[in-house]
Amino acid sequence: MKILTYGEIMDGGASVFHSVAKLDGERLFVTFEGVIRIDNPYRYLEPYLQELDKTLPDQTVGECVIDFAQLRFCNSNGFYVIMDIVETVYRHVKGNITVRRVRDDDWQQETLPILLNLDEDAIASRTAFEEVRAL
Amino acid sequence: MTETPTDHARDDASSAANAPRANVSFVVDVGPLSSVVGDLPTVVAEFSLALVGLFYPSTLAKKANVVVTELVQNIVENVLDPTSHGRVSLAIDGKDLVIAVTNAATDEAAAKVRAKIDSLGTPAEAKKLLAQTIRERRPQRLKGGLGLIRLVAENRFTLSCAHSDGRLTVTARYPLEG
Repeated sequence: MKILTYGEIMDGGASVFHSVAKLDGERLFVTFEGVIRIDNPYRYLEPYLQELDKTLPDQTVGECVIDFAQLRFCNSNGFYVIMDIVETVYRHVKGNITVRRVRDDDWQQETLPILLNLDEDAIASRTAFEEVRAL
Repeated sequence: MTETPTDHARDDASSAANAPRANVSFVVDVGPLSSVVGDLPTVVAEFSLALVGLFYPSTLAKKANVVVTELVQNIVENVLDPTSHGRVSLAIDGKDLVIAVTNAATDEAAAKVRAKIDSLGTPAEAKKLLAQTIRERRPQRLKGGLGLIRLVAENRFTLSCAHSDGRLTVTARYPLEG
């Protein structure tokens, strides 16, 4: 497993959120873990976004999983940065994408599809959900 | 007679169905708001998540977490009078989860909140509005404007507000029967 890049949010001296892009052969995993509660997540995640945009075009990706199963909370200030990360992945990965999400989480069931931009046929046709139980 | 695991399961299910629902409530009153230096929304929201989660399923505790986060965030981002207090209450009376926040607000600010709440409509309509608002505000990464919509669209709360003596109370209500 090769770590391509990662970003994290620190709060009160501790890491409260991290997102990691990693490659296992031709399988790309982009994971979200922790909580996004801060006022301006771009302050921490802008370099990650830039690195993701720079790194992904150089990779050979056959399969992609975006995993939200361990993202426990996201305030509305975190919506745009989630959109930017996801959009970057969709822009550089040409094939189908599996989105892992928690079955009984209101945010992941109701709002996440909006952030993924599933209203666009080109996105919806490449997206499959894998529903999981909360860990 | 020997008890089987099925008997235990039946007894547990029966007692759970017959058990009275827990009454849970708290009030947090903080002020002056100028003295708030830490992350008040997180502190109160995570307390709500833990407290509700002690008595009710995690799905309800998560709803409390989202509502308290967004409403208290609105208080700390819209301080009209730094000497004033903010108040947060949460109550579950066995029938509804009710969360209310109160802070100082001008007539104009209260009218804006009322207009926003009136515009939300049903959860399905609010969901369309959430998508539209995200699309409109994203290019400038504009903060705010999503919290109240989210509470209806995503978490299916009913919102109301009242303004008196210069203080605005926004109330979010969710029926436990869904």
